[in-house]
Amino acid sequence: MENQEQRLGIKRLRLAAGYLLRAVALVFAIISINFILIHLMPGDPVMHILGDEQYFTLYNQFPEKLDEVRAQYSLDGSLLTQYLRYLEQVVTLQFGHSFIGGESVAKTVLFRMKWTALLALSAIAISALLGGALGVLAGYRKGGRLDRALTGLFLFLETIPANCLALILLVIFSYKLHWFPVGGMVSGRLSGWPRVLSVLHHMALPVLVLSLFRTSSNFLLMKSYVSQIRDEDYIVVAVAKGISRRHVLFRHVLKNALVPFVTTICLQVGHILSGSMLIEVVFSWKGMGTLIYDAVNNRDYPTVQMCFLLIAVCVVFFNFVSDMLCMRIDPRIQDGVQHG
Amino acid sequence: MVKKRVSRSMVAGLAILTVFVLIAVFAELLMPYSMSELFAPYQKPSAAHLLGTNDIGQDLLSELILGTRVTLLTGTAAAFFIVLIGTAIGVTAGYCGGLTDRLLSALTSVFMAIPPLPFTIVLVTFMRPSIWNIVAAICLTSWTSTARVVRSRVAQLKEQPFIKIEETLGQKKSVIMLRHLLPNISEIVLMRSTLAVASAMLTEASISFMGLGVYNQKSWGSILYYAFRRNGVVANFYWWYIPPILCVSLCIFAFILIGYYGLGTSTQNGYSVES
Repeated sequence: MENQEQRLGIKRLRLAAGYLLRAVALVFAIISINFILIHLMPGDPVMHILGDEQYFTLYNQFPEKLDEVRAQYSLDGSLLTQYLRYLEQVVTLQFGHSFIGGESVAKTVLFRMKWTALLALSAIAISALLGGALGVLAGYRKGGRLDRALTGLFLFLETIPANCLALILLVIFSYKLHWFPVGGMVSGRLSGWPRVLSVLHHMALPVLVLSLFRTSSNFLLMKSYVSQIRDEDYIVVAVAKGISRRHVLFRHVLKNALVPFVTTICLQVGHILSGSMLIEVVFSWKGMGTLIYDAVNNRDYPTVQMCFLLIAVCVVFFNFVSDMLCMRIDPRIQDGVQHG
Repeated sequence: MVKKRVSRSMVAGLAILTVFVLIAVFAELLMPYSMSELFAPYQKPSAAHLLGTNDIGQDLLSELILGTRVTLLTGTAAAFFIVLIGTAIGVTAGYCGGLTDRLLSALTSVFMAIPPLPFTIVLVTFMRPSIWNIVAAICLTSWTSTARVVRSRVAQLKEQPFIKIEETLGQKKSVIMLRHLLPNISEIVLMRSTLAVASAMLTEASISFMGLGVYNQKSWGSILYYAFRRNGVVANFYWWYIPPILCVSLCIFAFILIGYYGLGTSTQNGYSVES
């Protein structure tokens, strides 16, 4: 008995180590991709960093300044030394300074991250509950009236690009009806509760749009899980035993459907930094999305790169968390049965 | 009953699509003005300019018509390469198995773990703006799900007797893959293609809305970007920003009608709800 438990523990440990190794390898791959991107570009990478005009001005007037920039971005020396230095910089979180304004990229990005996380986490919480609940109801009575109405509605929603719906809502509710602020995150010079209320007021519309789309995908997901489990033999047996419908739904169906659902939600949390990009742009929410938008439009490469790195690492991290979670909840995985 | 409904949605989707394709092909004939003709900027819709003019005085209807071509071309070209790459990798990994499979699957999961939209945006930012670079960036990030689906289907198929017989007869691997496996997954491939067009168009709309479109070849997404950026939305010039939204939605709707309702119901394996 004890022996068996020990074996299980070792198996679990080995699996976890595998997941961890994969996550580390992925982060490594992403950092390398970031490095390759600069160096695959035709021409001098410094030109891409500085922009054509500034590059040629410097090139003609202050060639030594150019070497300085090259050194600052570790673009001198052989490709291998550059790569190693780049790795070192990433690990020690040195991302240089933005070309626009010259602030430290890391500082800006970390500030923006908070606001994006606020937006995305609220949307994930709302949509997980709403989409999950509706999905259970629709999946339990597949083909029923509720199922058909909701599935139609949500599939229709999938055809509208998120930024388009956001634009339309912005025009109707902010410009026409004046119910919500036009953009931004908080009205100036407030503190305490009024400030919190103001933030809530500002985030109402973006969260609504984000939640709608997330709810749609969560609904379809939960529906398919529940309707699959509903056809399993053990549910038929439970119903045949005369167990009440509510009991069957909550104890037998829901409990099993929650396992894949929770891990999917966990995967969604991984996308908190990037999932609301377009919505933020529409509502001028000063988060990661607008940061990337501005950086892209100003060709501010260091900012774009750090944002991408952070977004990707966040995704990989939560993939790892989701794998671990899955392993803890679902004993079948420990027996070596992989699924998905 | 079910069959009838399937074909009806397919016909509806194809009808919408045909209209868009015709507009895209005959864009020059349908455009009331060429893009180089400039009029007074920010005009309201009138008999001369059915959808008004934009911030630099180009006719918006003409811009929308030409945008159909750019959008459809980007979407279909990207989808073509997505499916091509995805199928090639999926069939090879699924059929060859062993080390090849493990390497290709590892590659697939690396690309799956990278968030697609930010990666596409980073790629396009670093490349010179052109339609083909946008196509390449979209492909590079979204071939993975097709590869996964095809791989698992092929792995199932290769255990079937008709493949085993070919193997025993000493048929070449390439012939088995191309002549025997490929025709058997054609339905999945066809369905993935239509859905790939829909998602590629969505991605294109997103990246051109971020301002990464090509300036003199505006897609529907770019038109929306300029409407948003040059105060068309703030001033509520709905004739500027509503038409591209409608076009994008309608076009994606058509592809989903064909792929999901038309082809999807006959093959259960091809489509899975993704988060």
